[in-house]
Amino acid sequence: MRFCKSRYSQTILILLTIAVLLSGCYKPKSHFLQAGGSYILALRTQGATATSDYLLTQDTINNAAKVVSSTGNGIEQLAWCYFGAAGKTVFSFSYGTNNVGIGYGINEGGALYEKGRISFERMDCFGKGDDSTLIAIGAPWGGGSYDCQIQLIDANDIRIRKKRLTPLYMWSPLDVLNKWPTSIVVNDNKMYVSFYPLDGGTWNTEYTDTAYVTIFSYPGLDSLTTIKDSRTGPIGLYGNQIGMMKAENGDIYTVSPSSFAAGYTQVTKKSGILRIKNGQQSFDPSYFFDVETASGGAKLLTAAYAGDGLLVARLQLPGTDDINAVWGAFEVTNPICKMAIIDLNNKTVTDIADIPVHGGQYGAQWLVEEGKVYASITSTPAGEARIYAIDPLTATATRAAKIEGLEVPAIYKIK
Amino acid sequence: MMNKPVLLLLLGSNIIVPALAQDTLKTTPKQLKQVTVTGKSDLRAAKEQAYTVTAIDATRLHNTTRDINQVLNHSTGVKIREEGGLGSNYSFSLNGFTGKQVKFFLDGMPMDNFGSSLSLNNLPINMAERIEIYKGVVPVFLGSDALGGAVNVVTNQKIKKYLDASYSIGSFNTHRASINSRYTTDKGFTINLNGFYNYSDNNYKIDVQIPDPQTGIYGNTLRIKRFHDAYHSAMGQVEAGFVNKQFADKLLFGLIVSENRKEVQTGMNMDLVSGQVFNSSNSIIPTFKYKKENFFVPGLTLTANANMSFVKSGITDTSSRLYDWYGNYTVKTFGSNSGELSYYKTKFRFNDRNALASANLSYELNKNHNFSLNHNYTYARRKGDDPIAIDPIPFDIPNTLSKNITGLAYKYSTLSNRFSATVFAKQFSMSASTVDAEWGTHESMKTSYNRTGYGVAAMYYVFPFAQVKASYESTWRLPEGEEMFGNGLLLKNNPYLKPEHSHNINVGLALMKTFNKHKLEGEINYLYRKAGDFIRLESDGQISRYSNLDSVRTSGVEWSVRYTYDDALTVEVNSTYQNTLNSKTFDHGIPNYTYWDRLPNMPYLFGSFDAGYKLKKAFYSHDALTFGVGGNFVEKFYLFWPSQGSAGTKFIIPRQFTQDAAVTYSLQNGKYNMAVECTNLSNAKLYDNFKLQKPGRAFNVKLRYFFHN
Repeated sequence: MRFCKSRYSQTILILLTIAVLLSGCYKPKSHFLQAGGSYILALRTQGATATSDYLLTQDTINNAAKVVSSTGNGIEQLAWCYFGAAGKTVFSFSYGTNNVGIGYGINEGGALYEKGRISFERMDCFGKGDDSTLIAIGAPWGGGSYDCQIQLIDANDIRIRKKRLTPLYMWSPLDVLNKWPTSIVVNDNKMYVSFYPLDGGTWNTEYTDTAYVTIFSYPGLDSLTTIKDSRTGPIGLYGNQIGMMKAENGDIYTVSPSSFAAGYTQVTKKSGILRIKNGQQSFDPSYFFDVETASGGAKLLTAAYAGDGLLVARLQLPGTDDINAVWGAFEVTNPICKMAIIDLNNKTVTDIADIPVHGGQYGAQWLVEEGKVYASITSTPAGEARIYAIDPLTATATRAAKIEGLEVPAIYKIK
Repeated sequence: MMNKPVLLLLLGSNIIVPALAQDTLKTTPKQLKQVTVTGKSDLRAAKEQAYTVTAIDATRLHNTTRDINQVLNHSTGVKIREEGGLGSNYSFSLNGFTGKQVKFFLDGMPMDNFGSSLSLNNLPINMAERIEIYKGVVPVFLGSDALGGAVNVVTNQKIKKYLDASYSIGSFNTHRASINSRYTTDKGFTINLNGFYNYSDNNYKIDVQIPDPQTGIYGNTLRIKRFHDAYHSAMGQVEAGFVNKQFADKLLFGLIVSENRKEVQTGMNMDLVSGQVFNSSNSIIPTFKYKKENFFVPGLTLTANANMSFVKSGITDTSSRLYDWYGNYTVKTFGSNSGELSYYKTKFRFNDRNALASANLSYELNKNHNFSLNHNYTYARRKGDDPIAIDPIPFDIPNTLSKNITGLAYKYSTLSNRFSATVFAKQFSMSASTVDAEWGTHESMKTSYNRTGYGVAAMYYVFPFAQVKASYESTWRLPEGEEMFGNGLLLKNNPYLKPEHSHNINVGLALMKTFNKHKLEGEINYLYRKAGDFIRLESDGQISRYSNLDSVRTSGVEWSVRYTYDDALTVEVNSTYQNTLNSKTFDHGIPNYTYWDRLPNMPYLFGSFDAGYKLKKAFYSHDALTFGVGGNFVEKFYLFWPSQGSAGTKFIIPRQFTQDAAVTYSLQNGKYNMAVECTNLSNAKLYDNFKLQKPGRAFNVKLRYFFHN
């Protein structure tokens, strides 16, 4: 009996030991604390079932040894987000599952705090109204309903201050196409909204031979006129990308991708740049830059105005665009993009050799600071995601902070 | 000591035994030296298999108002996460495997294609005699491509004539009725009539913040009643045929008809509220069951099952109304072509036709050697239509999928049955086809896969009271049609989708000892899972597709202890710890920074207890009064990766601890029964899922009549 007992307890002991040994492999990841700072970055990481977004602060980003990481760091967002900023407030807009917009500020210690939150119906395209106003335009899905909703969000009180329904544009009362807003610029008490026509149900784009911008009074939001230009295709692309940029003198430059990968289901014009002179309600007939021809077949997707007539631009590589590439420019792990400097005045395109081939993004908000442009580059061929500091004058770039995640959808600096 | 097993074997050959389960059960009764109640022998036999199996005696619970899901939720390794009240969506997980990775069976028949009205949260517990949960390693007689285990609900097959009728009424206007009956003539003609009806308004109170419609600013938290959450389901089953005839031990033809309708109150969480959306489904399932022992050759047993299922299910979201939590609405002017929850208004209907045929041959050469061969064929066809869609819709062109799964097993057991071991191999094959209709192109797509799985299970009685078990299986789950082909719209196809794979290992120790009137049972299991290429839905803005995403390593320990005194007092406690870690180093060519992080949104530590005291002859010689309490505990867990985000800002699903209590009174030895139950005694705010609040305290009364001979 004694023998039995000992063998019996031995068995249990052995089993328990095995169990403890095997389950002991897990050690919770150690969290590292990050010093706060005046840079606010949105970090998109590989979530469990979808991506997950974090908003965090950083004291410096122009340093290759720095890491943008959400390990133990950053404010978790409930869903996939769009980001926007006005004045000293940065917004996240959770998309799809809950439709909550949250305004954040930075406290004296360099940490983010929540200023307030709002519920919204739809917000698909964002732009800065003034230092206390963020403009958001919601567009309907599904066809059969054509009004978009322009919303002015108070960046101090975090509330929706004004709403206005508008179809953006109608060819005729019988028009059954939706107009998808792609970019918003405010200049000279006017709000310029670029859009493209599409079938709301299928996302087919039947009309790709004209660039469109509707001009509203601001902040009155009355529709003034819609201007068109048939030298290139529609301006901008889905997903709150930067498709229009304002220069120092108030001139607005527009980007027409003419690309399947940008979500168009046909391509009929060359990708290029148009101009709206300061305060005007028409495209400048004397200016068009055929970027596609000048670059040897690349498509211009999005850009940032870096000063002195120079754009830092993301281009889709020549030869990567056909009907099977539809929506391909929205996958950060689909390496079909390169970066280049576009000289608007001399109409030249210069590749930035320091930046590897990489994937496109949704609504990438780059930071222009002291003559440099900071952009998030996710390069599967290079096996990493990283911020690059781009010098537009020399068309060079240096490696800045490393991204521990998929991409940085937005970089802001609040002073 | 040898008398009882012989007696049991004799009994086994004379009575009607469970259709498929019997093959694995029949060879084990020799172990039942300790068992005094022969009626429990199948349960005991199920438990004593070499597989890691939890066998739940459902008959003990027939006076409760629980459905099968709620019962399963009290066992080790299993976690059921419900989104709300009766009939709400739920996810079932077993040792970290979820969704289609775990397969469900009714008397050995796969329930995959039965429709949502015949899911485990609809089936009343009175339908089941016992429930077997196979963890990780699944016997070949359950022919299916399960990745992480299987649940087999076994109905009562033995009693020749019985009627079990019950009705319960409870909080939130909840009504449940169930009837199960059988009549068998002396000449062997038998007829089964079963049915159930469930209804609830589910108008329980929840805590919400209501935003101002103009400014979007959220108001204070209010307690408000749900107003559009009613659910009903109904089922009728008739089965007739012969038992104990020359040509068949059992030959049954049957028909199941069922339907349900579920109002949908919220979107993915309580921020989005709807007042008109509903889902509905109906199923018609003809069935055939055949069994013959000593089929041509002594020792050879044939079991065959076949069924078809015609399932129509629909989503209706056609309203332009914008509801708030008060139940008030405005008619939308913006985005009026969107439904309340869907991006496009929809009256979508799935039209599924499925067929199943399975056969199991089992040959007992002698008491030492047993061979079995199982083949399982399933065919599924899905078609969709939407009368109000203006644009192409999913499954406009039918999508078909057929699977063949063949299993071969050999079992050796010693004469004393002190040791037994099974080796098995399974061949999984599938072929699927659809037409890829997107952006105006129509392209026919076909895919097929073949995979081989294998495994081994062994058990040994170290002492008469201590059994050691070990099992291993290398198993596959084949992709489903929708996972591979998408739906023709924004769910894109992924022709490169591969089957999911897992190595599953279990090691366990079971103890059972009786000291006079005291009976103590205990069990401890260690489990290890190494799984790769998990098929998960991956979204990228508008488009999504199924991909082979996760690779995980799970290790865990689960234990249970059960103490019984004189068939009067029962106390059972169990708990499960399972640690599922992300073992993927790269994701889409980018380093995976959550490597070796615990998988989020998945309970990892949970347990439950149940205690009951039965007072026999409380007032009369034939009555019994039973008091029961139970509880369930789930540790809090993170919605997203635990390592990511600063500690204070992370989303969590809070810790749950709930208690239930019940009093049951039975007259005439269980013929008339009445039970009063209270669930969620402390009226705690409960969440199984992020921001989806479950019902508070609820009361139920159940009346049951049970007659048998």
